[in-house]
Amino acid sequence: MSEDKLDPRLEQLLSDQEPYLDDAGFTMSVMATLPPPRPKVVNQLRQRMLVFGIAGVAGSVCTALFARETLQDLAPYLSPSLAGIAPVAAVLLAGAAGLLVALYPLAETMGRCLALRATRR
Amino acid sequence: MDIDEAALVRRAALEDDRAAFSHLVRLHQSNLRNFLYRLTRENRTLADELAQDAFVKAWFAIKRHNRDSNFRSWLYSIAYRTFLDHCRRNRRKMEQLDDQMPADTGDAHSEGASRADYELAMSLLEPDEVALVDLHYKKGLTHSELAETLNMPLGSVKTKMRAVLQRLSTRLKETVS
Repeated sequence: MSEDKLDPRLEQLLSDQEPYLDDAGFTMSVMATLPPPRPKVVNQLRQRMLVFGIAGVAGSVCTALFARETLQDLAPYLSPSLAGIAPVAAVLLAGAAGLLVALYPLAETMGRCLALRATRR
Repeated sequence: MDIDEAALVRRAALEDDRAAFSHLVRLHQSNLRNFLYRLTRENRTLADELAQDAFVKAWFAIKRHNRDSNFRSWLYSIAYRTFLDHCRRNRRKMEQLDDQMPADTGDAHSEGASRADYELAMSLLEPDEVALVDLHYKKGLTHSELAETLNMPLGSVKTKMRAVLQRLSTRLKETVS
C-alpha cells in the first residue's frame, strides 16, 4: 500500500492530534537531575596559573640579570664562604632560587587542578 | 510565541546555559513523552522515566550535536536509543509489558475501525515500526529525518513504512469485518 492511497479511516486515526501533556513539574525534575553547574574554581585556577607563570618567568629573568651586581654589592656584608662563590655560580644559584620560589605556587595550583579533575572522574 | 530554537540550542551547547536547556525541555516534553508512551505500550510512569533519561543524555551530548541537523530529530533519536537500551536491560519486564497489550474488545465494529482497534493494531507492531508511524504521522518528521533519527537507510524507511501501513490497514479491516 502506498502512503498516498491510505485507507481513509486509518488516515484519520493516524492524523489525530495527540493530547498536549501538561508539564506538571516534568521540566523541573529533569533540571534537578542534571549535575550541579561546573564550579568557577577551574577558571580561577587557570587565572592563578597564568599570573604565577608570568610572575615566575619575570622573577627568573630579573634574578638572572641583577643577582650578580647585587651579590657583588652585598659581598662585604656576606659571610666569607658566600662571598667566595664564583659570579656565574652565584647568578645560577640565585636564578634557581627565584625560579623555585615562583614555581611553588604554580605547582600547587596545577596539583589542585589535577585533583579536581580526578574527583570529577 | 516566537522562540528561536537554534539560539536556545546554541546557548545550551556553548555557554552551558541551563535556562536555555530548560526552555528546550519545556518545548519538547509533551511530544517526547507521548512518543515514549507509545513505545512503552502506554506505560506512563516508564515513559516519563525514559523521557527524563533522554533529556539528561541530551544535556550531556548537546555539545556534540551538529547544529546543522534538526534538533528535534536528534532528540527523538536519543529517546529511541534510551528506550532500546531499557529493553535490552529489562528484557523480562518488557515481555510482561507485551502481555499487558490491550484486549480486543470489539465494541465498535458497527461504526468502522475505532480508536481502540487502532491502538490494538499499533500494539502488535515492533518498536521500530511504532517509532516510524508515530514520528511520521504524529510528530511530522519527514522520511529523511526518520532515516536520521532511527539510523536507517532512506530506502528502508520507505519500504518499512509501506509494509507497516499495509499491516495496520489489514488489521483494521479484519476488525471491522
